[in-house]
Amino acid sequence: MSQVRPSSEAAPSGAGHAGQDAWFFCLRILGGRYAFEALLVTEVVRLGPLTRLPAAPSFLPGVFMHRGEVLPVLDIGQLVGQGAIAIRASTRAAVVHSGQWKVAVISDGLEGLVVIPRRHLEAPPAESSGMAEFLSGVARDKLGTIAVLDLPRLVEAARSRAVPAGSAGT
Amino acid sequence: MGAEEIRQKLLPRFREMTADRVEKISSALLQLERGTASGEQREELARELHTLKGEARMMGFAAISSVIHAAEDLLKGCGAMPSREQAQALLETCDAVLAMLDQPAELGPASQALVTRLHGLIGAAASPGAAATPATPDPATAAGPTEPAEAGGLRARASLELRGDRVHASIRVDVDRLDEIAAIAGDVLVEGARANRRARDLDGLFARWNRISDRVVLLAEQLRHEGYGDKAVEQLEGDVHLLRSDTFRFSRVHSEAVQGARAQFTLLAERVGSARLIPLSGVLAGFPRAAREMAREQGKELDCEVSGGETGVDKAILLSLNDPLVHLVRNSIDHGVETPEERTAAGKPPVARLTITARSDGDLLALVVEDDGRGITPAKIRATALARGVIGEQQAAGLSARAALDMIFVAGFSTRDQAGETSGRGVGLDVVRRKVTALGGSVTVESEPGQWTRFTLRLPQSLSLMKVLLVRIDEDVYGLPAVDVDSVDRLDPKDVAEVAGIRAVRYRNRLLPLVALGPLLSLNGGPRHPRPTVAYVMHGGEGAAVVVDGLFGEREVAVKAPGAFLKGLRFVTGAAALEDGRVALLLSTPDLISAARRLASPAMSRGRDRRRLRVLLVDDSAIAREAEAALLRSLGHEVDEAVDGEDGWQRLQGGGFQVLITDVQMPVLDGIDLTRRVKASPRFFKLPILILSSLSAPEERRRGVDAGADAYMVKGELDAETLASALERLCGVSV
Repeated sequence: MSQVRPSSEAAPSGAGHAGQDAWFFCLRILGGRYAFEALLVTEVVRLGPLTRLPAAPSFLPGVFMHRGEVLPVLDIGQLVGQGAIAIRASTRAAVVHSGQWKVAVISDGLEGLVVIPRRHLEAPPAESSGMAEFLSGVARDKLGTIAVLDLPRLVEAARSRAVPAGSAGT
Repeated sequence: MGAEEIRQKLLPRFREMTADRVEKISSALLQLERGTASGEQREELARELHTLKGEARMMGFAAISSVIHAAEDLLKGCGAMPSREQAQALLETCDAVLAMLDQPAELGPASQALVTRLHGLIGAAASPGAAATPATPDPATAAGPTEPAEAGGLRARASLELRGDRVHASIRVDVDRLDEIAAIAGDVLVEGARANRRARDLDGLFARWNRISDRVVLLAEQLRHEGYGDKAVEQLEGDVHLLRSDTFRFSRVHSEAVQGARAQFTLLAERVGSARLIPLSGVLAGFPRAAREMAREQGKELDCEVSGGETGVDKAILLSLNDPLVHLVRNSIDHGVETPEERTAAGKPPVARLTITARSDGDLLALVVEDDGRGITPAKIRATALARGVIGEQQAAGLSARAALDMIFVAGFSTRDQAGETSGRGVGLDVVRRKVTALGGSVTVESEPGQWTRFTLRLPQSLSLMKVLLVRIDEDVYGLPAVDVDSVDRLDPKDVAEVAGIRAVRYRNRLLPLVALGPLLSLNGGPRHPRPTVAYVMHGGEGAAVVVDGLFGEREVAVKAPGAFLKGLRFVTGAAALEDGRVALLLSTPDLISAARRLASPAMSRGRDRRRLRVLLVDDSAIAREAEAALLRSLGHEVDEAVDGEDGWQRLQGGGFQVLITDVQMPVLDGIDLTRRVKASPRFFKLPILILSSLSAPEERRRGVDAGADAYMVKGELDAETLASALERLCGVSV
């Protein structure tokens, strides 16, 4: 029960945060509650009009302009093959900065910051398909269970599927 | 300008660039020694060395060139991880190269000693500890700097040369900072367009207000006529009048101000853009002499001519242009130009000609390197590519002459059996393509065997502004570089022909493949209009007729990089903000044309009425999966991928797939069991299944069919057309 996964290791331990707590950014995708390391989110924005990407996988539904930057939208639901997240005028996205990649993660709804005591983090179930492939832990709070995603790995997977290595520039 | 004068002019920049290169090489060597260098870093290291060698030769530094050549040999000989001794020698070579920049260019005893030392270390067994030289560079082992005979007085001369540098009335600005300013200027330009749009909207609002105020005034007059007019009505009337004229005045002043600001913004963007434009002569001037000498060393006679040096080019591009040009010229001399004897025998003048021509081509800079040498024979390229394992036999057989020529840009391809000192190490032309593509340009080759070879580099002249034709696909807007768009027209179905299995349209006396942009980019099924809009795009001698859903106008846009995440994504070279807040993605013409050529087959000509399918592709081999997915996407289908049968089954639960394509041999759950499971499930039993296997035996096919597969195809026999028709057969009727 007390096993702690990498996501909580990456959570801030000093800098005003109690070492006992892990900070997550929580959102709802296709009926489930998902969270990832809060520090990865730089801001939450309303999606601008999307332009679809040519010959791109369905988990990249398009790009939009944000503060003079072209941001790709990442649909995690599609990436793990669970179905598309509906994009509406009201859809908000979490702008995520993971390593060198910057993407806007869309969801059905944003819950925002969630603080979970580390002792409430559990190891994910040992599955290796769909969303489970990218789980780094399971957390519980008053509202129920939250699946903690290994977002950097997920974004990395999205990038390598969208632009297979060696195909650049051809 | 004399040759020496040119050399002197280029010398400061060569020194600067070499220092940068050496720094890069040193840090890569350190990583290599630690064993932390990736394959890509090793390739990069090889390229840097190769480029440095070429540049040194061009600048007449024979000693540096020889030493680097020896270093290349050593690096090749020591495999993935050099011993400490080898790494040390290589690092010391780096130091020596820097010192040699200030020394006589010829190979002196010290450089010769270094070359011998490097060669001596080839094949030397790793000797950890004992044989390792001290970590700090031992000056005695380094070449040049400590060699009084070679350095001494001549070094003083070198410093005199340096003192001769003129002080320019300019300041050095970091290119990154200039980029930043250019990007901001571009953003401001878009903001200006937006403000203009808002001003128009405001005018509309004022016009409405005007109409209402007219009615108010009319009403007040009526009231007065009917005797109800009291002072309050009169005052209201006066106020409305006043407000209306104030509004009108403001509206005019505001519109003028916005337009004025917009003009200024445009000017700003242009000026910032032109601040980055530098004449090409700085790069080109050194080539005639260098090329001539390089040829002479190989016993060849060459006249090299340069024209168009006054053409301006973006600073960032100029900096990156040198390497590709050096490679191309070297390649021409090594592989193209024949010896005088060979030339005479072939009935050509003994002195070969190499021309480098630069010119502005709209927004693009075109650089042509042409020689009148032996040309390139597609058959020879095909054979070499096959021999080097760059392509398979089947691929080689299917390679068109044009595609064969293009093979010379593939990494690992080199037509020389013996690595010449100048080129032929399998790095070179792939560097050219990589660099040019990274700049948003293209490189193409044409040749007439026995007569000539022509390399054409096309690069954006300015990285910040580009004129584009904006086209519509559904409601989305995409940009085609205006310089590549020959014309735009309505397509007359009568002009469409099928020639040798390719759907084509006759345009300016040539047949161009005809494709709809929507399906080509896997975005939609193509326009429904009986006479749709077609853009004729041309690039590097090739062209295509691209049918779009509509036009959105032509304009100059501030080009933005699509961001790291999308870098390398097919078709997309950049993006531009539109004034309505949308993003227009800028498309790569070479990508479009090559995709169009592949797509214009008869199977694809029916693409317009064929549905775009959502395909679940299950294959455990990443390579095979990539290839299959690419093929499916090129047919206009949307592909979801799964890594084994179980993964496929899970993904299937998400629903929405119209066909399942699966491999057979996979871990966890194989394709046969997956097929059985799908066909046994009440939810999915109708889903067509295509088994794609490397096993071709009849019993294997039977096993697949017995499990319930609707079709069975062998991977080795896979091509676009058979796959397209199989999918059409499986999914064409049902919805």
